Amino acid sequence: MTDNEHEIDHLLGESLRRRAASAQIGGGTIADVHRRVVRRRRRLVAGMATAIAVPALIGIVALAGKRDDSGRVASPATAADGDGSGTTVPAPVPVVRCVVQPTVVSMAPAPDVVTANNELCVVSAEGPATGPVQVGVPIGPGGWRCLGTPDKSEDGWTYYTICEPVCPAIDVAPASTVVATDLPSTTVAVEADDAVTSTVQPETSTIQPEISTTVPPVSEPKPTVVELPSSTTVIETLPVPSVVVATASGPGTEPATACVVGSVTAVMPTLTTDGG
Amino acid sequence: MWNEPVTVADPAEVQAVWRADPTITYQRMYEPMCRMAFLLVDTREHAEEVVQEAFARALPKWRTLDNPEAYVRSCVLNGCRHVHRRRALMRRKPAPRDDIDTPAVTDHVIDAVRRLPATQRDVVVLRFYLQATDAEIAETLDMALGTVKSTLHRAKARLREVLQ
Repeated sequence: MTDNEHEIDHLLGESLRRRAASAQIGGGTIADVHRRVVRRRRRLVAGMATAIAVPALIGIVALAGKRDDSGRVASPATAADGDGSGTTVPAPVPVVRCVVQPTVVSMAPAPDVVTANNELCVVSAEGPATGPVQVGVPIGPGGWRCLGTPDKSEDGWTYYTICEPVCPAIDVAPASTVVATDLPSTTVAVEADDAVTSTVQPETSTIQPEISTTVPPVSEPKPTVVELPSSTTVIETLPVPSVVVATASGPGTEPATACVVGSVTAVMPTLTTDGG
Repeated sequence: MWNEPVTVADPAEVQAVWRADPTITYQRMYEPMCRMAFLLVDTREHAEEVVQEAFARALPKWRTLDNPEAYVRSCVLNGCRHVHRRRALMRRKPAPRDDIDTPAVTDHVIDAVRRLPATQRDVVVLRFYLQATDAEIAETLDMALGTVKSTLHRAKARLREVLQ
């Protein structure tokens, strides 16, 4: 190390010491540091709480909004809406399908005579004026789940693209859709009788069956009696659960089909018949 | 008896006891750290603020630190750099500065040190004011030993050039 370097080192040391000594350092204590620590900790906790609370709040709001949206199925405006603003129809909670082939094009309001425990899922009928029509009957608390654009007709009925019954009482996995044709069924063909005519609202191809059912005890399977419009009585013993498809046909209408799940007796007296 | 003073003969053990107690370390380091910070930031208020903040950072994790003194020194140097950055921002909007403790007689050496780059300035202050070794400087600034030596060499060369 040369003298020049020693001189620089000495000069730097002296200058720095002299400059540092000129400062009047106050008496900061360790208590001041502890107070700073407390303040820093509070700021940190507040920051963390904010960082957690804000995203959580946003998530809750988003979830609530999503649930609100999923509870309503928006349908495009229909002619009946008038203002063209579109309508929202409430959609039920996830459903368990009882009867499939959801080719329902129309849905009638639920008849009041359906008893509480009946498991009648679908009554389908074919009218002369239109194609196949299935009339929905609510099952217990589930009711119907309809999709598509609600089309309110002049006759007072609302038409949907697809309707399917909701059978929460039947323990069927949602993935395993039960197809009616796969279930044990009995089809009763009723011979056409010119003396019998059907008044099942031929304009709208919907029927309003007043169906009363009686549920026999499960342990004692009893015959199922189906009274059809053509005064034909079908007696069928069904296992539980089972599906009965009863089809009636007459001169004024196409064959009507009743799909019954369980051992029930379905009577459809409102499929009134007129003599001649 | 348990209230008899504990005598510790080993200097390394004494240092360990000091390091374990933040209060002792604070009392021992506060003034030198403030003066070192004063050399770097030029104001007593900023210097004390920086040192207090450095101890406030170190205190919660004092037990987990391998070398609390080096940690405090690093915090002080980082705090001084932060002050310099803030001043650089303020210089973009020039305002009258009366907070600098301008010495009565201008010290050209101090002025030359202030004009050094930040790393070189820190190395010079640590070496020539705190009399820190190369290893201590390397630990404080988180540098390699060779980097400390080369930085110090360049800083001295620059100062020599300026002062001559």
